[in-house]
Amino acid sequence: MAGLVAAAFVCVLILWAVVGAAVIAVWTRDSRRHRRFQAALARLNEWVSSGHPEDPTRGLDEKLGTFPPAFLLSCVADPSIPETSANVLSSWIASRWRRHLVRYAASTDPRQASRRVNALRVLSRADGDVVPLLERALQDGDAEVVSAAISLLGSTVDRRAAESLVGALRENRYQPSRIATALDRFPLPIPDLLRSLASDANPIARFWGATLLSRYGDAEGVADDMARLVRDPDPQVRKAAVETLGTVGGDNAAAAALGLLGDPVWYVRAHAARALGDLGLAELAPHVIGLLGDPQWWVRQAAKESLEKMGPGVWRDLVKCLDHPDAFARNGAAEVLQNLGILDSLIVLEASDDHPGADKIELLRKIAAAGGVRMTNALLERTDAELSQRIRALLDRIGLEAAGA
Amino acid sequence: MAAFLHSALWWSVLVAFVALLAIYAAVIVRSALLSGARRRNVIAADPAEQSALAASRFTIPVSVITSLEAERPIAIDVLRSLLALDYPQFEIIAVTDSSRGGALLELLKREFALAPRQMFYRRSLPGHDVHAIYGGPRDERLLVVDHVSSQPAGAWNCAVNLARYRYIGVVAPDRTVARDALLKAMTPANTDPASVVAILGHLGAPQAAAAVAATAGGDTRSAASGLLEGFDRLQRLRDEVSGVTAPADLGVTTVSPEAFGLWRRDAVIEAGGFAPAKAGEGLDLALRVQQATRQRNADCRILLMPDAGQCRPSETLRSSIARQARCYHAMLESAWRSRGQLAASTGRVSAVSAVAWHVLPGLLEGWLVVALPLSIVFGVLGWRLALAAAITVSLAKGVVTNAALLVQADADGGTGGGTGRANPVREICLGALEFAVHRPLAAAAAALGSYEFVTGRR
Repeated sequence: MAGLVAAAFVCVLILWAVVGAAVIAVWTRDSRRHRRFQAALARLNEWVSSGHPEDPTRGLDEKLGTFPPAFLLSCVADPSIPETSANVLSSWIASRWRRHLVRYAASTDPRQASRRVNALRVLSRADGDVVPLLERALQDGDAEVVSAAISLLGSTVDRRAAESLVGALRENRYQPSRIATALDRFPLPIPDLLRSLASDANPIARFWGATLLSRYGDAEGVADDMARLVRDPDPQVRKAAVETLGTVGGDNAAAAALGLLGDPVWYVRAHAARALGDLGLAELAPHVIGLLGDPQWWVRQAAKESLEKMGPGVWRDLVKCLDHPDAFARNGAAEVLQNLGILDSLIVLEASDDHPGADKIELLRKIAAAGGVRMTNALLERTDAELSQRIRALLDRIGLEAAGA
Repeated sequence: MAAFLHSALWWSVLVAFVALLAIYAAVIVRSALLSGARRRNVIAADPAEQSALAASRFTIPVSVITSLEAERPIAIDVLRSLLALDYPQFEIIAVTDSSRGGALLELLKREFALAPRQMFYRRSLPGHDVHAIYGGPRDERLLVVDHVSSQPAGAWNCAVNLARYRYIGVVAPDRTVARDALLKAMTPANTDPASVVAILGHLGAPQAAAAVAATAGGDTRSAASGLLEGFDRLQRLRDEVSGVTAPADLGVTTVSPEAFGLWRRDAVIEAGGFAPAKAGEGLDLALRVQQATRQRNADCRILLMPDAGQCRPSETLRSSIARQARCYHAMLESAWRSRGQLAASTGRVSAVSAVAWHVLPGLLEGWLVVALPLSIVFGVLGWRLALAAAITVSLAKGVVTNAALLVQADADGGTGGGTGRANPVREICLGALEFAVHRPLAAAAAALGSYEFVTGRR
């Protein structure tokens, strides 16, 4: 055993020393390169920030020209480099190694995906005609390459980029929400492309078309498209259309949303209620209040949020709901009255009055009954000590603190 | 009898020594083979893409829940770090129990200008009544719930009932999070929300907590804590480079009790919510969700992320052993409850692979830690030979570490990881000391975890 251990010891010691030395050698080489790159970058940052009239890339040839382009591509991908300097560096790299970059960007070798993405990023920054390369990357089998291509297409000021993204969305080539994110931030107006999406035979494309058009409420034909899509056979499309109507408004928006409050699909009803809240039409509150007793919890929640968005003007309609036979509807009405500050205003006003009005007392009794003891307790905790005493006395006097929901 | 024991000890040391060296050699070969594949994996995140996602209205909103324990001033830092998350739409539901001393609740009310309010919500999961709910006019995303809950599971279930969004992020009371943690962790769910039911992850190094401690009046990390972090980092590096990750190999959920979790709300409710579990509430729920989805034959995925920007607090030697013991307990618990899956024909190969790459080296190292001193005591080996064997194993492990460092440097493409990597001499030395310094602690933790598993509830 001693011989075995001795032999193993010697072998392992040599291996440990050799591999360790290799690690240190690689680190030393990388550190030296990195330091040189950082020095060049610091000088570049200085030139860029000082607005020096001379070409900021002057001197880069001398400092960085000997580095392999793949190394420089990796360095420029560092997110800590300031935007302007990264743009200058990208232009310099693209002007010096354009042929290399185009070759890297067109490579379909999965092991070189990182270099391909970095080359695409540099070419995009350098304002080259990169759309055809990005379109090829969009067809790649590597999800990370496709994701990078989508992001770069989304920031390219070229209508062909938007057309490619719309095509990818139609063909369901990648996660639709990622493509939609790129289209939603697209730097050029593209309502015509999105309208074509909203008329597509594929319901997923129609859904995204309807959703993305919310940015273009003033564009011609968008209101008509939405009016058509709220009657779409696909509930997701109806949901998207009513949501967009809530954002863009228009003459028919409220009527379309009201029509969907009775939709058989619960999430369409919920979004119709939210759309009415976004439109801020308090006069339509009675229609939304009806949903406080909806069988689906999420619809009731949406109705509450919608009423709160409509503002304090809805209080008279809400008060009527306090007599609703459904306990959920009563609870919901009380919660909205509390969140709108109506309950606080009312009780503070009455507590400071030595002879509170009978109708107000009755109203308070109803709210407290619908909201339960915890609502009155929360109210007492919200007010300062002196006022709290007066409110407590008022509640005691009219026997409200014993009310149960 | 004595001769037999003598001989058994001698042979066991020899077999463990040779087997360990062979496994280390295999790990190095595997790392080298995988290094080509790793090169493609280091596509740097594009800040423009990240900021687009962080601002997108199509990014799925998340309800972040946490149970705040009494007497923990770090709660304020935790909530601040959550409120600073770079994510388009989220809410924070923090549950605290004022019946165990209301000082924390009062502190929160004062710090975040909270006011009580009544809320009606659906009780999808059973639990105690809510005592009070507080919201802030200053930041409507924050909701603090006063709820009697002796266990975190009860508090989390209460928060799930109040949650409005489709995904639930569970954060432990003593963890701060990085600004981009939620965006990073939610990436798979944002890509495929139809099938991703849970995203679980192990915690990163405790820098963030240390930073919190530092801003609060000095870094409390000890030298031992720094050493333990270093060993943890090396272990993760070796696992990553060699592609040895037990959960992936086993095809079952093996999550450490400290792991954070992002859950799809419907899956949590279908599985009956969180339940107190010695090996960790997250693990327990993951196994139930896995079971429920398998029964339904649904296309549901539970994903594991190595690190999504959450950090555990600074550790002492004792707390580190206790944590490792809990992890070991969780791993055994998971393997026990998933034994049906392991026995299935599809799981056998991966189970053998996981045992060979993950469990066996640990067991052999643990055995040598015990057997080498015993060999000296019983005169089986001379102290010089035992010491030489121990140093050889230590250096061999150091070779594995060095190989991983080399592969990592190569995968960075010579950029030093973009921002420059620290001098590797410390890591090279730590790698060579790991067997002698860290393995005895790990062996103690494994023994403790196994004892808890055998004597505890499973």
